[in-house]
Order: sequence, then C-alpha cells, then structure tokens
Amino acid sequence: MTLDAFLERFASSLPQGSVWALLVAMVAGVVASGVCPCTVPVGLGVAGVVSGSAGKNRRGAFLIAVAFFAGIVANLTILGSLAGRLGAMLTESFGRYWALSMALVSFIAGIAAFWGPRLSTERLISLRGAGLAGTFLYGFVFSLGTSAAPLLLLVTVAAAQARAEYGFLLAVTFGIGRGLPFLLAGLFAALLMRFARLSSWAGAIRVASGCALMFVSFYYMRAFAALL
Amino acid sequence: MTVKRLLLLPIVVLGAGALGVLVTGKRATAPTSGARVAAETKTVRIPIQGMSCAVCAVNVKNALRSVEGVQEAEVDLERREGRVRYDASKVSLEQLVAAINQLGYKAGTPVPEGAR
Repeated sequence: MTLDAFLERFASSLPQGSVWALLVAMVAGVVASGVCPCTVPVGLGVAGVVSGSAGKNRRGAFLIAVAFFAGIVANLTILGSLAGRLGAMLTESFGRYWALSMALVSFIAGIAAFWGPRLSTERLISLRGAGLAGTFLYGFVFSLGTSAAPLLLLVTVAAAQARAEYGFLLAVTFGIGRGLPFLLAGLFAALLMRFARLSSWAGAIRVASGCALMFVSFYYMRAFAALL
Repeated sequence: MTVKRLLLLPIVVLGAGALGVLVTGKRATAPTSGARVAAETKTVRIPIQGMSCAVCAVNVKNALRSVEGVQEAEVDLERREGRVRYDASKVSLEQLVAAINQLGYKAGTPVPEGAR
C-alpha cells in the first residue's frame, strides 16, 4: 500500500478536524515510514547510534533514541507551519545537498560509534549532551528530506479544513507516527545493549553499529552521486 | 584543343548533373529519415504514487534510464511524476510503467507531453 492509497481511503475524515483524523495522520506517518526506502538503512543507523553511544548508563541510551525521534517530530512541527513552502524542499538540488548532509552526518556518527568505546566513562558522560544534540540533529536532517513530500500530500488531502492550527496539529501527529518506528528501533537497540554489556557480544555489536552507520553514509553518498 | 573542350563540356555538364542529383537526392531523403526518428521519439509524463524523498526519485530515474529505448528520464518529486523521452520502436509505455511498479511505486496512466 502506498501513502497515497492510504490517504485516499481515509480522505473523507481528514478535513473534519476530529481526533479520528489526527489518528489517521499518525498512522499515515507510520505508513510513510513503512514505504520509504530510507527507513531500513536509517533505522539500522539509529540502532547503531544508540548502541555506539550507550555508556554505562542505560538511561543515556534511551535518551539517545528519544532524541532522534524528537528531531523528527520537531522538524515536522516546523514543516507543518511552512506548508505553503514545502515545494522548495522537493527540488532535485535540495535533494542533492540533503543526501550529502545525510552521508556526512552518518559518517560522523559511524566514526563516533567506533571511537566511543575507547573513551573513558568520565569523557563519555561529559560528551552526552553533545551526543543528544547530534542525534536530535540527525533526526531533524533525516526528516527534512524524507517528510516534506508525504506531509505535502497529507496537507493537500486535508486542505478543505483551512485552519492553520489544524494543519500544524496534523503535522505533529504525522511526525509522531513517522518517528515511531525509529524510536522503537532505538529502544530495542538500547535494550539489546543493556544485556550485551554483560556479555562478550558488546564489542561485536559496537563494531556492527559502526559498520551500519558507514553503510548508511555510503547509501546516501550513492544517492548524492546519482543526483549530480 | 577546341574540339577537346567541346567534348569535355558535356562530360562536365553530365558529371555536375549527376552530382546535383546525388546531393538533392540526399536532401530529399534526409527529411524523411528525420521525420521517422521524430515520429518514433515520444515524450510522456507518468504520475507516480508512493515517492517520499530524493532517494525514491533517484531509484525511479535510474530504473527508467536502464530500460532500453529510454533516451531521457527526469522525476519531479513535488508534482509526483516522471517525464520520459523514449524511442517508441524500442520500448512500450507498458514497459515504462512496469519498470516503475517493479520498485514498489504505483505508476498512473502516461500522458503524452503537451496533451494536458
């Protein structure tokens, strides 16, 4: 099922501004994640960021997962208020620089995943703030390129209800749905690291996390090259 | 000398005439060939459902370009459509639609460019 087909099916409820319509927008976000080819590689990347940044504090790993999710929701909140200008984010030149940014951010996150375990616990704790901000930025940049087109479609379908605050609310709920699969991937990785830390698998998982992020970087670098 | 020139004159005239026929013959056939090529090269716009980001657009563009007979393919994410210039003697519209659908996107009915 494409997002278009899903929205066509529930199109009549969207302009009504009901709680049901907001639920439809949230499920539309999940569907948008399900059909987007970037979801699997970036989901792996998020799991990589979480396991790569997981220090001895398990709360830190959960916060990293939440930071990526918050980046997506924050981005969609802003995009929702810029609904009329979403087209600017759908041009080929924007897509080119977005793919390059994703490749660079993923590469940096990959380096951090490899480098993280070599740092001392005190150093890791001092870098937690930067890690959270970086992961938030990762979610924000990712969403910038992958959410404008589905959001534009959602807003177009719901356009009969011409209230700005309703469009904004739709964007936020859509963002929650869009970020949910990544939040789950991150939380699962955090849980996995909690058990892995006790075993000899921890090192192998960290190497796999770094490799996953390098793969994401390569994935977007290839897209950038194709757009040149 | 004068006799030789008189004998040469028809040869030169005939030669020039033959050359003229050849040149004009080529000119006469060239537009026919060009018209055939133009008639076989077509441009269509195909609506595409399910694209969400630049990577989707790249995937569709690459899939269309890899079809034999496609000369040019562009994908517009905002309009959610592809623009394809192709050789109709080598590839059919069904093949173009199938190339998009195989990726998991949903191609609509192709519309010849300028038909809207």
